[in-house]
Amino acid sequence: MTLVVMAGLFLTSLLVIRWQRGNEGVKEGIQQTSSMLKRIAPMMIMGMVIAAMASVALPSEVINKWIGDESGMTGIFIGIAVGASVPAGPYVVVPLLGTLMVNGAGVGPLTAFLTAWSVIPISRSLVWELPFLGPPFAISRFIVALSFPLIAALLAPPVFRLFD
Amino acid sequence: MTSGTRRKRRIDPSLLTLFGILCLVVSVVFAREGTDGIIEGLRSSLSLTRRALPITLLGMGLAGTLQVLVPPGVIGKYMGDDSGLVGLSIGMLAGVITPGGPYVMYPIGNALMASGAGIGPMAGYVSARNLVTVNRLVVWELPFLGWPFTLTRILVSFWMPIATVILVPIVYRLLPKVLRDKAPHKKTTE
Repeated sequence: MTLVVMAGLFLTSLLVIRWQRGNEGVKEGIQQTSSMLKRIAPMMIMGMVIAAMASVALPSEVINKWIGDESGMTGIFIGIAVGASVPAGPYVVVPLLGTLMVNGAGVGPLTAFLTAWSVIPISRSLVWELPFLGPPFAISRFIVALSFPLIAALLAPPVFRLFD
Repeated sequence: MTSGTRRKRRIDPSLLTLFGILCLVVSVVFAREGTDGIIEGLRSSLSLTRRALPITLLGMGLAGTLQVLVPPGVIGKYMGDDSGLVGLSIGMLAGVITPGGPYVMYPIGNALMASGAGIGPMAGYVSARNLVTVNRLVVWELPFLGWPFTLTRILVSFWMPIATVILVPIVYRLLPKVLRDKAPHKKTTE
């Protein structure tokens, strides 16, 4: 289903480019994609292996104890610390979170992890945000976002219970 | 600022870190479960990859075409400091549809700033991009984490871009002037 929608969107965008900019534009789009692929492919493969190996390396008891539903604030802070320091894209983080989820990680710690990775990523901020958007912007944004993962993690479990 | 200039054509530091993590996890698996564990790990990595591959490829194709369709320089003009709600909404919308990784988003952000985007709309752009990207949602979060968790995460974080839009300009103004002069739109604007 999602595949069909994505394929449809992709084809539509190609047609629009073709109509607006001709073959030149299509070529440019393909170039953008292939340079992205080249960059991401090695990381993506490593990410998949890390996620799969982690499920073998970390037995459910360990996951449950440290970041399970009962882990409380400890689990949330572990989630924030790991999330903020993982230097990887969604192709690593999301499969890893999926593995952790299946093996007993709680909604609070998982939300903390995903939110920290999204809004206060240490390496992405240093390597990308600081040079490209400038120190004043990057610093102000980081300060403002610092509390977000904790708030999200505290709000998530009751909300999750509504859907589960 | 100098540390950012060696970025080009060097081995990506995050690639190295990832490789380190990979070695660590593999050795832990080997120590605990031996070769059987490694084989099991490899087998499940293969099935993970097979599951994610088609949609990832399509997602990246779409990411490439979007970059051609929506040039950032045009959008930045509508995101000035006094563009009000319109600028903020454009910023957030641009964030949500910006595809690709940081190597796409931050150069786009830089172009937006250079063409006149204000601090508030930029904050909206960056946090919307970081929190809810359509591409990431469809390609990764929904298939791997399921809709109850994904919906929960969106519900508990949709206020964040709004909070950043309001708070970042305030914090920005509180920063010492020396630091504020280092903003890219102070230098790059013609």
